[in-house]
Amino acid sequence: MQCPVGLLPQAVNRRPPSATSYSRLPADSLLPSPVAPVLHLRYDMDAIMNLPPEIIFEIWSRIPIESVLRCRCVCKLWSILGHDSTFIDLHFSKSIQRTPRVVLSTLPRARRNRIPHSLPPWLLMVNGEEGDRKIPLMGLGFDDDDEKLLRSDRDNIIVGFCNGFLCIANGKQGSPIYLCDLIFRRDSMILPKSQLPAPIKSHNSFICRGVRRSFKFGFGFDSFQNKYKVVRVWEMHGEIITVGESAWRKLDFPRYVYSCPLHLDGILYWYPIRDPYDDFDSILALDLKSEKFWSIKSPPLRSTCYTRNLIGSLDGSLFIIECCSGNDKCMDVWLLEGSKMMGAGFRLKSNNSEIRKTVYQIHCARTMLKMDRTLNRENYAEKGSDSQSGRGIKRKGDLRGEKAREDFSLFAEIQPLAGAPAAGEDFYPSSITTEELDSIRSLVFESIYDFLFGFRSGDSFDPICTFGRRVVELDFSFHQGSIL
Amino acid sequence: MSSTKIFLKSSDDKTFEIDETAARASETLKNIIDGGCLDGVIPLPNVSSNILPKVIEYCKKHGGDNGSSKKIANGGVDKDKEILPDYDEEEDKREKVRVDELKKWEEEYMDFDQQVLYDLMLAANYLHIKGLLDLTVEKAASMIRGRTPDQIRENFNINSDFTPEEEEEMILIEDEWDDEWAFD
Repeated sequence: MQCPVGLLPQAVNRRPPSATSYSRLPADSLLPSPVAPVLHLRYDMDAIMNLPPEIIFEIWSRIPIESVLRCRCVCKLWSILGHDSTFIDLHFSKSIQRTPRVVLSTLPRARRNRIPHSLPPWLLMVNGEEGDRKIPLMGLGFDDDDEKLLRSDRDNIIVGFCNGFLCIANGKQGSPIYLCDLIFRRDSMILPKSQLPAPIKSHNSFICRGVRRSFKFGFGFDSFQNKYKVVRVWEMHGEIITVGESAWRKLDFPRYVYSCPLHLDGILYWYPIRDPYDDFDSILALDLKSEKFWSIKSPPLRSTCYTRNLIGSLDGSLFIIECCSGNDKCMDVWLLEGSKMMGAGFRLKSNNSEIRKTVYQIHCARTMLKMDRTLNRENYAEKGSDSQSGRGIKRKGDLRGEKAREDFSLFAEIQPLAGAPAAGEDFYPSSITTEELDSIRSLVFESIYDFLFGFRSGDSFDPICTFGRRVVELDFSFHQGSIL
Repeated sequence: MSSTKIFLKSSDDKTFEIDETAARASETLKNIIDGGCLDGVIPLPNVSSNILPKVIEYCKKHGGDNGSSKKIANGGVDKDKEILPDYDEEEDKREKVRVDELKKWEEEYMDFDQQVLYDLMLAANYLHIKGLLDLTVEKAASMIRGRTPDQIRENFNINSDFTPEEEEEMILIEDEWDDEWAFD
């Protein structure tokens, strides 16, 4: 059977070229040559088995990845086909056009002695195709020892998320950097060891205090070259590696950076943190393709003690939100406009109702997350060692704790911006029931189906990070190639 | 409007007649026609006489109108039309009726057993009929979406050839993914 390949869409390569890829699963070479279809067999039980792989791939490319993973459990042939790299790339390129998904991590940062690991045992994938789903952060395809280390090191953080790959690293010298194939669990790898010396105690004791004395990481995807890159930096000493290459390359930063960058469309953005030594007037950007830096002038923010700043991405654009909670409540939204390299600048977009709505929804979602986290923490405290497995955690009904109240006040504060309820109305939910909370949650999750958003805020700017700085909300790029 | 007739020969040597406009729904046939290689009968060694009439039926419905199947695939929404500032409301209504009618037709057309579905997929792929391929592949995809491996096996009459141990391991993986979570 000569199947014309022209009908099948061109696949975009999703996988990084794997130099040290772990592979417990059948190699691509095991893929059988196309089976000749026997058209006249009318009563063949396994008739679908006679279809050539192209057709099977065509069918699978239209179903969500969860269903594909289930198909791999159907029979041996499908198990082999489901691991085929042509197919994985095809599914990836097709899924770019599908409903965007968001992956959220909702567990609290580990409190030492209480939770055995800092990474959540699973992430929540929010998507419109098969409902919300929990993705376990285990069985990623690493060796047992590596996986143990990945889960047991309390300083491991999620660096970034891109096309289904999750980058996990920690700021300590010599710690491995993991690239986890979260979806297919096949192309996970550990990046080569870096040559960069450990952060030393600098003359600036302020900077050296706390988390700033560790490496910061960025992870992104250059869609022009189809390559994933990881950046590692301490103050001005940086290095970069293209995933698949064997060594890091030196990357000199034009200025000090103390925060993790936001990745958007092949560019890493470092938002300045509120720090006397940081250059607060500009945002540093790194193009992952050319590996060149440039600066974008920050919008004229109020930056008072009553303001909270957020940096994120919306519809493929970078935005900064400034929320004032003082006497004059307001929300300014600044959107980055203009060409990437030259002439890009922030423009005030607060009057755009769509943006306000979106920002409001994102904010609500974040508030929900914060709430979840608070609740989870309570549950953890409650459940004690049971929580180790990540199973059996059930939410407690009592939401009237102080923390929950605080979260809801944030929710109420944002609410009038969306137009409802009317300003001045008392929205303080002093006695909200579990059912009410559930319905609010589902509303928020429904609303974020419509958007793809990502957040990576400067360390001291994220209101949600007040409790658990290490908990990262991620936007799931697997279904949105152009954003992350 | 009558047009040139084209003859197609199935794998089991039966000849079928089709209008040229209808045949153009197939990229493969279109290329043969445009290439001027029309030498009486076009042999189709990959399509049997069981399935060819079904393919021709589809082509007749969609021949010379490549856009319509696309509209169906988009759920009947014509995006271009929404953007245009002024469009004929009457025209829009007629279009809607036409799309509805086409949808109904497709529903009836797609009422066949699975073997026909597979054969149609193969024929559509071979003949480059995008609309038909979309239609059939989507039907197969709908039999997989959101089902468990057991349900998929049942839907497609597939026998599991895994050993009990392998099966066990896979169930474990499945559980991992499907575990109920407090906030689901």
